[in-house]
Order: sequence, then structure tokens, then C-alpha cells
Amino acid sequence: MKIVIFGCGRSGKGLFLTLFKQNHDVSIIDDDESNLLPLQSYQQVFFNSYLVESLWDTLRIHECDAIIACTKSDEMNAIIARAAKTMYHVPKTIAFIQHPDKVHLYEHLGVQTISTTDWGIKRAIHMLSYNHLQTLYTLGDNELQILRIPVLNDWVHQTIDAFEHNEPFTIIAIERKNHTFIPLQGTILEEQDILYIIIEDCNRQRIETFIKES
Amino acid sequence: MNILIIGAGHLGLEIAHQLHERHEIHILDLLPSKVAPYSTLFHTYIGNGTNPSDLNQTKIQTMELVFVLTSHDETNLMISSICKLDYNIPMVVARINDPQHAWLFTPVMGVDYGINQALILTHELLKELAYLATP
Repeated sequence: MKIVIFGCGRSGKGLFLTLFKQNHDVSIIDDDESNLLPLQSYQQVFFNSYLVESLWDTLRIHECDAIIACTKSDEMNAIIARAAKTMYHVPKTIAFIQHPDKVHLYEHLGVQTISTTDWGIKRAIHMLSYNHLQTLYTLGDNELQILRIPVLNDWVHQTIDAFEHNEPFTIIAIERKNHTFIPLQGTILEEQDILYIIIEDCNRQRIETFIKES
Repeated sequence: MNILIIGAGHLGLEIAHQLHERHEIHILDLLPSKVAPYSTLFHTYIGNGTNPSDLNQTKIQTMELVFVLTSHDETNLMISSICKLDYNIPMVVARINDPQHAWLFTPVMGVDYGINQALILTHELLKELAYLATP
């Protein structure tokens, strides 16, 4: 994929390095040259103002599969994402937004956002409220979550069907004695199993209650 | 006509003074000190133009023309998008601070007309110089 990242702060730099390692055609730009110093050994690093048309042409934004705007300014991120989507028809545009109150406004304007503050708050609350569940991965704007749960004593010797028919989650993998596999219908849980489940965020509270009651 | 001016700098206040005898002028700015001296002449509000609740206090739905005149281009573009897409304002005029950003000030981004100060000033200067150069 061809991806351009606007903003070389902690998030931008981390995204650049991760996507570069995954062999994506990734470029990064920042309007502060000192922010780019840690990446000076890479070729696809640009020092420039963000909203200059000649830069967007040089970066061939119109050929991009995705752009990610993670500068320090919420407004700048939203405008970069909106311009890339409406004027350059980039299929995937993502704006990092620090101010949670602005998320709905920007999404209403057609900008897909990641609210770093909101996400951090949700994660912290989850970690405080129930430490038995460990979130491994989130999809979308935290809408779907993949969780890791050690099997509870009450569940041992039960089949996974008993949970899936009544509860709003799906067991996607089981880790057992250093081996991880996809469970089939009728798979029986054993002591010390680790379960990997996928849930919708809106059902997380219900899962926590379910586990506590179990 | 109801006119809202967002950004009470020199340009915003000059436009307000030029238009207030024939139109209802509303001015919104972040800083109370900028709008307070004009509260008897115009309808003044304190708030952020990118915040819908601050815009709502101006009864923005009733505006026929909005001037977006802050000193940050990305803010002007964001406010223009909100005015056009959320409130369907018939005419949105936005200030272009950096001429390199002029390409973004288009109807697609919510701007009906961009005021490119540097370009206007340059044209006026060149016209004046041409006049002076004429014998």
C-alpha cells in the first residue's frame, strides 16, 4: 500500500517504522525539521509545511491508498484528511484527534478519526474496572475487541457451544500447553486454557459481569 | 441581512464597521477583550468558531453570510466546512493567510470565496507601481 503520514511525533514515527517494516510504500512529512531527525536515514522523509499543493503533488497523494494525519493540531489533522478524501479521492483517510468532544463533529464532516484521548480513557477504565480481561487488539474505533481470558474453574469440562449460544462473544482461539488452535463445535475446555474471544465494545460490560458471576 | 464575522482582528472589525449601517452584524471571537469594546455597535459573542455550541449562541442558522477571518488557515477551513455542511450557510467567505494554502479554499471545502490578502495586496502594489512608472 502507498501511505503518507502527516506529522512525525511519537505516533507518526511509530506508524512510519511499523509500516516500513511491513514493506509498505510509506512516506512521512513534518513542518518541524527536528522531529524528523530520528528518521534521517530513511529516504521517504519530507520537511515541509503540510498544506502546500506542490508537496501533495510531489508525494503523489492522488495515488495513495491511505493517508494518516497525526500532527499536533486537531484542526490540521481534520483538514488534511478531508482534503485528501474530497479533493484527491484517497480511499482511506484517518485523522488523529486529541479532543474527544470534536470526534462526532469531524466524523459528521466525513473525516474518519482516532481519538487518542478517548481511546486511552476507555483502556484505563477497562483496566481499572476488571483486570481479568486483557485487550489484545481493537478493530475500528475500538468497536470490536479481541480479548485474552484465562479459563475460569466453572468453565472447565464444558464445551464452547454452551457460551456461544447464550453470550455475545465468539471464542476464536484457545491456547493450551504451548499450542494455539481454532476451536471446533464441541471443543471441551480444559484447566489452564487461555481463551481468545472477540466482542463488540457495547457488550464488554456484559462480558465482565458474566465472568464475575461465573 | 444577518452577517456573522468570526475573528475580531483588524480585518473583521473593518468589515463590521463598513457594513453595520445596512446589516445586522454579529462578531464571534475567542478573546473577550477583542469584542467587548464593540458590544454597543454589534452583537458580540465569545467562543471558538470550531465549537458548534459556541456557534449556536450566535443563532448561526439565521446567517446569510459568514466571514471566517481567524489567523490560522486550518481553523478557517474547518469553520467553513462546519458552516457549509452543518448549517447550510448560503455564502461563506474565508481569509487565506498563507497564499500557498489558497488551493484548499474551494467550495468542496466549504468556502464560496477566499480572501487572499497577500495576492490582493500584491496586485494593488503592482498596479500602483505601473501607474508611477507611467510618464
